[in-house]
Amino acid sequence: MKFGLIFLLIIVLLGACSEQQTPKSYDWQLRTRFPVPQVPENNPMTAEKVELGRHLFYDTRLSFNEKQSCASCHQQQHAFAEPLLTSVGTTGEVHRRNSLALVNVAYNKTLTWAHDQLTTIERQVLIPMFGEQPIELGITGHETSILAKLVADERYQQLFNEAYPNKKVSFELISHALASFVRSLTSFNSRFDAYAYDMQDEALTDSELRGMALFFSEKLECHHCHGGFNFTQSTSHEKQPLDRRPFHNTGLYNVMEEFSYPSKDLGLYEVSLNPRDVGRFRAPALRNIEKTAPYMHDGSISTLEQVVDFYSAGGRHIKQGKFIGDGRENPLKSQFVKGFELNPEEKQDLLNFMKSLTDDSFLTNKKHSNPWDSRK
Amino acid sequence: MIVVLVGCQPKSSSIVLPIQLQLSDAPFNCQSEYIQNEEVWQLSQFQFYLSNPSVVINGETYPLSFVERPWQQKNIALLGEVCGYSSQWLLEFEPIGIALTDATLNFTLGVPFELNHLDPMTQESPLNQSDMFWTWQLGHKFLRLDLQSSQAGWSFHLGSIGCSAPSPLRAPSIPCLQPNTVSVSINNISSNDNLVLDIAPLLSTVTLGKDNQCMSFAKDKSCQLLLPAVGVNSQTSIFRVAL
Repeated sequence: MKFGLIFLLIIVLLGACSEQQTPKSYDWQLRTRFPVPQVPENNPMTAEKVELGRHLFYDTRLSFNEKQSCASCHQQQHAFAEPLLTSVGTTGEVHRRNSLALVNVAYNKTLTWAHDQLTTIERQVLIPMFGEQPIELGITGHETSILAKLVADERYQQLFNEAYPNKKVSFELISHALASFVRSLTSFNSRFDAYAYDMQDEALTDSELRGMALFFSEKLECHHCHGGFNFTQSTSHEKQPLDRRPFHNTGLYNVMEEFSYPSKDLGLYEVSLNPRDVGRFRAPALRNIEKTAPYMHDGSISTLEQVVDFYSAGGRHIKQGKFIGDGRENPLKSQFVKGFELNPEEKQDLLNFMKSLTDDSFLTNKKHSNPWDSRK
Repeated sequence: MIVVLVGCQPKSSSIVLPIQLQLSDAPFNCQSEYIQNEEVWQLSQFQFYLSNPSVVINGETYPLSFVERPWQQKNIALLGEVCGYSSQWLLEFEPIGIALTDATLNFTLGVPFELNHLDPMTQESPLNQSDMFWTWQLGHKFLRLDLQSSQAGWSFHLGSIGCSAPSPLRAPSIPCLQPNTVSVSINNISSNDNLVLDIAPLLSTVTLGKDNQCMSFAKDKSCQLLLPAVGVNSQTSIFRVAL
């Protein structure tokens, strides 16, 4: 007995003398029942990395000409999307695609509009940072000078030290910190969430409830592509690692070219080279959708009302101009886009429901806001 | 004394019954082609939930437990295939101490009501797969068969219909009007047998196309053919023992 006690004491003392510290686990501040997003093993979440990433996200020095930061095309009041049809890079080059809202991106199985192999934010951020076609932040060729600027900044010295103690500042650390910040952008406090997950029956109006019933109905079939807790089937979390490939052709175009979508953007086909993937794009998550107009991969639908009209018609019939064609007849169109009839009241109910997905706390959360004061 | 006796018992292995997906008598997989009216169809996803398994041997009923795996819990298994991603075609049960000889295998194609309408985010696999879930109100898809041709897609999704709840995001408190679960009973099964899952009875009844899909609504013409073929309110024609 006495021997056992001494043994125990030695163990406890050894533990107390240990140099190792268990890292504090990151506080996601999610609802207790919500699963935590999958995080790559080589970039675990810490509050310090998120804070460093936030500074980088809003820092125009990350672009070679200091004219743009990530926040230029991902603006908090627009749920980290922007009100342009397609984005414009730091040299004025126009992107072919619409800026995606950064809402619950942590749960996306794949990133960007149409890529089935881009599965981590760490890998995706390299595109706007280093991409040359088009140039977005334009870091390529200017790596040394940009790093030098950041390293010279006392604030960054402190932030890097806290996030990555004893590590040399590099673009790997920068991209990892940016990924951690984007991963921290979670939004689950809309009135819809209060109804669905807090069981608050009063959180939605009658019109919104009717709209919700329409959204989840087989008549409209929205939930086939925009279903699940994140309103997109492109979702993965720690309890559901099973993989999916939710890219859909919604009948936006049916042009008379080599392919039925305009050659400037063939969607997933460009990555997979599978002809069935022409015009297939990922269904984005719908929280805060009211704030992220214009819509679709090329921003070609301006308002939510027009989005509902588009799905109601079962596709888009373009009657004149460069992209003339009847998207409703696109042979690759998803079998879930069949069109449906809505009377004006039902249409308004549906729109009201979609607007109930807005999470004001996310749009104004200081933790996601610009940390630099105007002095910089 | 007791410890010694237990230590000497031979360990029986789990009960394994492979399921062969077939189109009539031919194997059918993600590479297979089904040609109808000159259109070529291929599988893109075919998954189904099985629950409440048991066997009857010599008049005795033995409840079965699925071996715990990522895609199955004791009482519920999600089997089948998502082409290019995952594939589970084995029925795997914990041993029951006796071998299967001339047994009758019973199970339900579907998810039991008490599990069917819970928030998939709080559920363990395999009840947390969002594309096998409709809504809290309607529950899970018991069977999901998606085919693809170069022109179109076609789907047959089996699940409960007529479930009363205040909204799609509330679970029903009483069973649905049309639960659409299928009780399957397969006779003459022995340990080394394979099961056949034959989709010919499903595909031969309908003209495949986007206008002929079935989401379990009894009013749809396609469902009027598919639901009895799969076994709703009738004897299933898709499960049997391999010869």
